[in-house]
This record gives sequence, structure tokens and C-alpha cells, in this order.
Amino acid sequence: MALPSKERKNYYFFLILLLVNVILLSIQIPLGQDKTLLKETFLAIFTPLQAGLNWLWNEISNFWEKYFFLIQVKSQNEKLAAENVQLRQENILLKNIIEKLEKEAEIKKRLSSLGNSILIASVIGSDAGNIFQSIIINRGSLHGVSGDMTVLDPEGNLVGRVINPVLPWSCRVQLITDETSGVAVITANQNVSGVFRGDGRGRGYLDYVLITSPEVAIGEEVLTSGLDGIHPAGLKVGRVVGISIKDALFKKIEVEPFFQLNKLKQVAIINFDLKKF
Amino acid sequence: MSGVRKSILSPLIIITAIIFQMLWRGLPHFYADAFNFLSIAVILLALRHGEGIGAFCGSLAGLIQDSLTLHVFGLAGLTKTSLGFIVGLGYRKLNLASFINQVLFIFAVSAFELLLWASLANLIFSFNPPFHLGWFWLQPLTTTLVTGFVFRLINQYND
Repeated sequence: MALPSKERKNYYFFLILLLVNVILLSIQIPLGQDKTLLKETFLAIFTPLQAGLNWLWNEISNFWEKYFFLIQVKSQNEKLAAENVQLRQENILLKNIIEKLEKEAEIKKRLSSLGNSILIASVIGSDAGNIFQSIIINRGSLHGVSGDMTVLDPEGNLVGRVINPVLPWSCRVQLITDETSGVAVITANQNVSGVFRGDGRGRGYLDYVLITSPEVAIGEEVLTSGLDGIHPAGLKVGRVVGISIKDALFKKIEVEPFFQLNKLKQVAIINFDLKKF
Repeated sequence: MSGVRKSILSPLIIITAIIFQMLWRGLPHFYADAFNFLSIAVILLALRHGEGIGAFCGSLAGLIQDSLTLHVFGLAGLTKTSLGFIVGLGYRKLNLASFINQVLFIFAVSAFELLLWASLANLIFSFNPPFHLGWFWLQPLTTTLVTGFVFRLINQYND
């Protein structure tokens, strides 16, 4: 039985749309992690919209508190909270740097530019597919952000890295809990090095830790080693929560990240050149 | 006046869904997966306009969702295109006069979309949706409740 003309057209239209989506999926395979132009365009349109909506929502929800209840206190609090985050980041980085350097003059010279190298950003969006993959923040290329910059939480724990494309007013941060993320790390006590990979479920594990390597204890801290050339050494990543044998060569070391995604509202972007330190 | 109101209703549905989706996922809460406002909009538009418009809106909404995720672009586009088409076709071909039948139908198609998306993500593209949090599995239920309620409201408003 032949289908009516309109119905047939709808079927063809549906098939064309399916084909377009399949083509979009297939062209990403040879591109690997690189983004397609269409995705960049969509991102460029919707991220500023998302930032605007979040700003508007925050303004509306804070209106009563700001203008009728506590006129000054709220804004002062926000300013102090942002300063607090900035100072904590500086403190952590200073400690790391001082441990490495010996000469006072050298320390002074190198640290003079550090204060301006920390950028505080607000989280404006979470990943629409899996919240453990990425977040969107409200700082972009106009604020000096570029790809591969390190992102920390207010406590100085590693959250992830900025990934390209970086838009003028916003960017996406790949979380360390993403399955395709890899961070060079070292355990705090036994100095066992490996690569921290996310599991897409809020945790991660250490890759490439040989069975013959020293014993790692449950509860041992995991820090960045700096060997990946992306993140500075000494940043807190997580804590070992499980150890088992993966196969004949490697151990399976499960790590729980320190940063708490569910409470992440502000982050610090570190934009200094690792090689200088 | 009534014609104008009817013609602005569909764009209003999709714009509202985008706004709600963005505000809802503004922060990375664990319960973010409980609602998918874009799926709700696709179902509503497919119910109102049929499979052609449903598939087109599904494609558009899916690509918007895909642009807000890190990895595969086109995955939600694919599943939401299917969702829009199936809802439009099903609503026209099946006997869905009663409210209960409508609700059951919406639940079945939203569950189908979620399973299709999760299966493709997991089996073909090897990334794991956060099933373990549990909120993810509430999506068909919340989609059914919101869509059923809004569709009924729209119908009463049109009458």
C-alpha cells in the first residue's frame, strides 16, 4: 500500500535528519578530540546565553537579600569570598615554589608576577551528557585564558584543565574525572608515579603502576608530578581508596579526587608558565 | 488573536525549554539528570505538529544538548530526532484519546530515548553516563509527568 504524499515526505525528511546526525558523528572520528565547526558554532551561541541566564537568575534570586535585607553585607561577603579563594591559591602555590627554590632574590623575582597569574571564575554550566566530564566557566580569551591552563577548586585541589576552543567570555574545563583525561601524578609517601585517569563516575584510578613498585597505602595522598607538562607539580589530586591487581603487570589503584563537584561554584585558573618555576 | 497565540506557542515551548535546561544545569549538581527539558519540548512539539516538525525540533534540541557536552556531537541529535519522529507518528497512528494512554505512550517513548542514548553512548562511543547516581533513571518519569501536565494545559487553553 502506497503511503500518502505528505507522510512519505515526512519519512524522507526524518531519514535526512538521521543521516545528518550520523555524518556529524562520523566526521568526529578522524578529528579525535578536536571539535567540529558546527559544535564550535553551537557552543559560541549557547555558552554566552547560558552565562547571561545564570547571571540573571543569580541577580533575581539575590535581589531581596541585596536590596531589602542586607544591602552591603551580601556584596562584601562575595568580594571577601573571592579574595579568600585567590589568597588560598597564592598560598598553596607559594608553598610549592618556596620548597623548590633556595635563593631569596630568586624567590622574590619569580613571585612578583604570581599574584596576577590567578584568575577566579564562576561555574556557569555543567556537562549535558555526564556531569563528571566537564564544566563551563565564565572566563575566556578576553580574560587571558587559553587552552591547557590548570583549574583548581577554592581549596587548591586539582579540578581539571581548560580545553580548546576558548571563547571570548567563557571556556570549558575538562574535569580530571573524565574518562579521556590523564594527569601525571605521584603518591605523597611512597613516591610511586603513574597517570591519573577519570572513570566518568566521579572517581579515577592510577594507570601504569607496576606490581613491583613500592606498596601504596589506603588513604595516601596523590599529587601532581608535573611530568605531563600541563599541571604544576605538588597540587593535590586525591586520596587512594582501593588497591588491587589489574593484570600480570600493573596494579589497580583507585583514587577519590579531593575536589567536590557537587559543591563547585568558583574555581581558580592558574595562568603562569610552568617552565618559569 | 487566537491564531497569533497558537503560532507563538511552539517557539515559546522550545525557548522556555532551553532556558530551563541551562538554568537547571547551571551548576554540576548530582540531581541534574533528573530532568531533560529539551526532551519535554521535543515531545510537546511532536504531539502538536506531527512527525516532520517533531523530528526537526528533535534534531535541533539534540544538537543544542550535544554542544553543551564534552564529547560526541550528534548523539543526542540522533536520539532526539528519533524521539520527535516516533512521538509524532505514534500520536497520529495510535489511539491516544484518553489521558492515561497519552501518559503511558509518553513514558514509553521517553524511556526509549533514554535507553537509546545510553546504549549508543556506552556501547558505540565508550563513555559512561552516570547511571550509578540513580537520578538518570528518573528522567522518563519526570518527562512524562511534566509533558502530560503541560500538554493537557495546552489543550484546555486551545479549547
